[in-house]
Amino acid sequence: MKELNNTLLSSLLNEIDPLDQAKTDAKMEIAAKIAHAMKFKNWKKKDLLKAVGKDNPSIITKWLSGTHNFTTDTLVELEHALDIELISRDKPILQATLKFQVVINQEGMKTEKMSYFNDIMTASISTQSRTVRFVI
Amino acid sequence: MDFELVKIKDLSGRKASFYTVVRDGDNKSLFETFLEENSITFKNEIFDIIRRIKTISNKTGAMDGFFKPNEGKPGDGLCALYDQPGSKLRLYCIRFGREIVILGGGGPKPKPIRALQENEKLKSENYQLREIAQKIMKSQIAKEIYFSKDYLDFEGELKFED
Repeated sequence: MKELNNTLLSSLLNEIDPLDQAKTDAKMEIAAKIAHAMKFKNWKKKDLLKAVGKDNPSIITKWLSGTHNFTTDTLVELEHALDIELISRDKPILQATLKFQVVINQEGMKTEKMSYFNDIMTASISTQSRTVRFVI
Repeated sequence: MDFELVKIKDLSGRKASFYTVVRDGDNKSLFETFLEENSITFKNEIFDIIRRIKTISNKTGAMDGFFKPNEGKPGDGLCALYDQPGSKLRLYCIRFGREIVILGGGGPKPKPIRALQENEKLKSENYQLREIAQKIMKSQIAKEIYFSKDYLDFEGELKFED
C-alpha cells in the first residue's frame, strides 16, 4: 500500500503544542462519551434536548461535534441526564512526593542488606545524604 | 479522472486511518495541496484540523457527530470536518464508518455564503470529491476494493482508472 510522507505535514505535527492537543482530546472525548451514552439509552437528539430542558436542537449538534468548550454547569446537567460521569472529581492523586530525614548510623549500615527497603536505600543514597525523595 | 488512494501514516492510529487522494499526473495529494494553500494564511485553523484528526485516529474514531453530513450525494459518505466556531476553513472528507476517512481538499469558507455553490473554490473541491466518492462506491460494489479485517485499511485495487 502506498503511504504519504509529507514534510510540511511532519513539520506541522512537530509544532503542535501538547497542551493544545490535550484540550482538543478532552473536547472530543467528552463529545464521544455523550454520543456513546445516547446510543446506550437509544436516545435521539430530541430526547437529550428534552432531558436537559433546552429548546434549540442545534446545541446538541454542537455538543456532539467535539468543538464545544463545555461549562461545568452544562457538564453536570449532562451527567444527570445521561447517568454518566464527565468530570472526574474523585481522581486519586497518583503522584506524591514524600520528604523525610534518614539517619544512617553505624548500626543501620550493618543491617542494610536485611530488607528490601535497605536495598533501595543503599542503592540511592550515600552516607552524606540526609534527605531522600521518594515518588510513589 | 484517474486517481489513487494513499494512506497518511502520520495521521493514522489505532482508532482510525486517514487516507487522501493523488490524482493521475499530480505529484501532490488533495490534502497536501490543502495544507500548502492554507497553512500560512489559516495557520490556527490548520493546527486545529490536525489536532482533531489526531484525536480521531488515536482516541475516539471517526464519530458521526464530528463531521457535517450530507455534503455530497445521498449515501456517498461525503462530509466536512466540523471546525472551531469562527473558523474560516472547510475540509471535505469521505467517511467509511468510524475507522476510515479520506481527506480531500477544501478552502476558505466566507461566512456570508449559505451554499457551497456560491463559492467557486469550495464548489470545485466538493464536486471533485463527489466524483471520487462515486467511483469508490462502484468499486466497493464490484468488490475491487474492500476493508481489512480490522476495518482500519482499504485492501484491493487502490488505483482507480476510467
